[in-house]
Amino acid sequence: MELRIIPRLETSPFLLRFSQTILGKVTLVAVFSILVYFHGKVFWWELGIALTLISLLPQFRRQLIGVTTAYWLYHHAPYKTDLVWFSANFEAPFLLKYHFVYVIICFLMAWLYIILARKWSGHWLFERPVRNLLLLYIVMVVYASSVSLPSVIFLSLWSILIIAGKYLWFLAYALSERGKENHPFSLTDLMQFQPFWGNSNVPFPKSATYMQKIEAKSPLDLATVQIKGLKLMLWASVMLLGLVTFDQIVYGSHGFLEPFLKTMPVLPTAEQAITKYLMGKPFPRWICWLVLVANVIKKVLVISISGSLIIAICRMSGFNALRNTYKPLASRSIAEFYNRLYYYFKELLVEFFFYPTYFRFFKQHPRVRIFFATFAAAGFGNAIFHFLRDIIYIMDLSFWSALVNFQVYFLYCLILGTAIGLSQLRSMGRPPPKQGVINSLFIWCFYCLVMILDEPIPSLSIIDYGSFMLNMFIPFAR
Amino acid sequence: MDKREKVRHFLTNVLTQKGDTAPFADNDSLLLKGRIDSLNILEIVDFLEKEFGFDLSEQQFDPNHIDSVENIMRLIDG
Repeated sequence: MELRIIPRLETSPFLLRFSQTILGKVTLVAVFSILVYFHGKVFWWELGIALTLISLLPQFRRQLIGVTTAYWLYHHAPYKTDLVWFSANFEAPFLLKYHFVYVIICFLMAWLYIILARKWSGHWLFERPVRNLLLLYIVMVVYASSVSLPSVIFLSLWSILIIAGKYLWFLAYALSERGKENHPFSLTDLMQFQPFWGNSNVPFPKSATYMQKIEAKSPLDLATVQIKGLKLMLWASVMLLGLVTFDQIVYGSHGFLEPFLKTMPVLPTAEQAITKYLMGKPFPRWICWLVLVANVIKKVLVISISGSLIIAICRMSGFNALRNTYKPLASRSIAEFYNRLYYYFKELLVEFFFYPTYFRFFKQHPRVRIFFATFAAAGFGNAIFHFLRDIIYIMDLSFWSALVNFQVYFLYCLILGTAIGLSQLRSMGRPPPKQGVINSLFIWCFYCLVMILDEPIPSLSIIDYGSFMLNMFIPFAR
Repeated sequence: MDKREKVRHFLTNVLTQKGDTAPFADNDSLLLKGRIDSLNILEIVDFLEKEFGFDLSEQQFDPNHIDSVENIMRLIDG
């Protein structure tokens, strides 16, 4: 019998019947919103109202999502942190006041690009619209960071680039679907770029067409998917409790457990361990290994919680989306771990980097073909995504200096892309390896070592990180 | 074995390798149900290229067109 922390509530006939009544819908949303509150989301009560309306009036689901997204953008826009930094550094408070104007400009530009790409799909400019969109965006970023412009143009251009950057991959999905399913692109689709459950540059859950396919079609469907949403939120809350306890015990963090549990840090953070090492006062090697393990545990928990929160809200809105993180501990290979950890980011990389490479290059050489396409996704695509996501660095340092500053992340992508590529090659034409202790240990060791590079301290170089990692294996005198 | 049986047999193998032995209908979208992912799609592409001589790069590739027995048969029957 399978052990479950949260039972399969969506199969209970009583709950399914109850969730289709008005009282049931309101109760479900109320419990859900309270859990959202415990996750520290400031818009929990507005979310509660929106989800109640969406549950009671499913025939207006798309319109209600559009309106809620507009409200959420106005008050809690995902690009606000970057804009706050930008307006403070360039003494332009009006940027924050009128940020919605720039959003509208970005939406109009996106709409125009989609219409042009659909109308002239045979023209060389729009034959590969996603690649050209990325090129256009990169050229604009290089231009903005290297040319001296009059103040108003400079501020407006960067504001548009910051906001457009948040929608880049949503637009890419819309473009990639231009010829598929005869799906007409409407204003409602545009309003569902970065829906209110988002707050990530990664489109959750992919595109408008995909959302159409997974949308609840009947009251029973809606009840089932909403119960699954609540279940996922409960699971995210269990993990949150685990994370807070972990933080309190391992790092002595000041979480809400502090009044009950006062602890001293057991381990330094990864940043502290590297900094001490570079100062010539390294922690013992076994402590450094524990630091790496704790670092991975924390990252896996953080990714799982944030992804689950997003998908839970999406499910409560009536879309039966797949989970973002699904049992990473059950992975049998390096490639599978990556796939299970961050599903929607992996899907983005596969859609925009893997498939285009796979269908274009090395058709006669299956092994080279699969390795090259995997590297294009997990290595190259991953690097481009994160470099463009951290646009604030480019603004602060200029494009070329930011490239140099990103060297450690590029190394991370190189190692990850190569390892996942080799892992894919290894699994070609043979059944997946058994999930033995040695296999699991190998996968965890790999991610322990490599994940220290995925959020590097900006001032440190490849040599600093390389030397720290070498020190994990060989006694190393700096 | 006819074409439909070959396709069904292949998809069953893909699922079994993942430890998924639950039955599936011809029109079940295995992608939307989360039973296969985009990396399994590659195995299907490879199968279609080898078994039926398809070159999917010539068309605008959409994984949803090859994620069920019915969709694959539609592609094969052209």
